[in-house]
Amino acid sequence: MKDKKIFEEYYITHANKIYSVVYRMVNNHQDAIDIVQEVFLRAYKNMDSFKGLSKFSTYLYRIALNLTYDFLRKKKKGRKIENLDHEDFSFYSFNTNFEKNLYDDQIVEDIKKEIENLTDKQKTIFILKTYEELTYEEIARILRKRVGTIKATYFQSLQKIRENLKKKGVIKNEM
Amino acid sequence: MKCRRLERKILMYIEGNLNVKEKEEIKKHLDECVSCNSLYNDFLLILENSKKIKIPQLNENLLNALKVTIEKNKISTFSLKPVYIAISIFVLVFSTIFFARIYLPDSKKVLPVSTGPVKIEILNHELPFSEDVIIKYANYMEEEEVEKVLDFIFAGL
Ligand SMILES: [Zn+2]
Repeated sequence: MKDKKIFEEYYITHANKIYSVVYRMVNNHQDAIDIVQEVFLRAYKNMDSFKGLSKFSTYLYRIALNLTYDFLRKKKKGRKIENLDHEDFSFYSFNTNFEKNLYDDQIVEDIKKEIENLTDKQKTIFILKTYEELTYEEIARILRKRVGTIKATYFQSLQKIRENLKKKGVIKNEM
Repeated sequence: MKCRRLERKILMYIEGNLNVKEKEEIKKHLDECVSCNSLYNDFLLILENSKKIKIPQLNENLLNALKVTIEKNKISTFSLKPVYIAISIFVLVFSTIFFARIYLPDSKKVLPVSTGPVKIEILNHELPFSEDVIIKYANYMEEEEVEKVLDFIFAGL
């Protein structure tokens, strides 16, 4: 079917990006997979509304982040996310060592911890800017915030990470 | 203090978002100022090392699983063409104006800014406007408004 073909193209173009953002937010492969599935199911249902819209990725990021915030909120309350009758992936081989220390450099591990200590909003902006390398304008569109707010928040996140690394003695205080 | 003003620019300097003159200004300042130099180096260190954080690869089988889920749950695409979205916004905006004209006292006859919730049902009703008028209006629509409607549609699914 034509729709399925277009859907596949959308998926191939965007799935990895969406997954990496969601994974960095939730820090768990299976949870990230569940959310990515939900994002694309919603995208599939609404494909006709998307056709011809220039910035499809903006909408995908936005749905993904909303689902992610939702998930994180529920997780904080100790509930599990509800899903459709999704296929189970856990039987596919997957290296779960990502939760363990696997960096030669201790500093990478320390920075990873500090990123996790950011607020959800700070983390989102940090991820979209640092890893997805989106422009401030693109991030502002996705999050519906002013560009100035995004810039300020990104700067604050870096400051926060820096201050905490200083407190822990990971990086030195200037003389 | 001068440094406070320059701190943000140091980040822009790292990102390569400064013009030649500003770039020179920062470069010079970084040579002279220990505190800003330390900020610059720390930011670089944080950004470089954050990029070393590894994440798992998305499993290639996810697409197949998605297709299976779509089949199994008999999910179909929701046919809502952009022109209908335009129509729905059009109807909403105009009905709001209409409402405001009738029910609000003269002093409060100001158009509401928000498009508010949009009822999809209106798509099935016959509209008292010609397509020409609608398309003309839709062309004036801000992309933000279209996005609001899309978000509403998503929220309802
Ligand atoms: Zn300085």
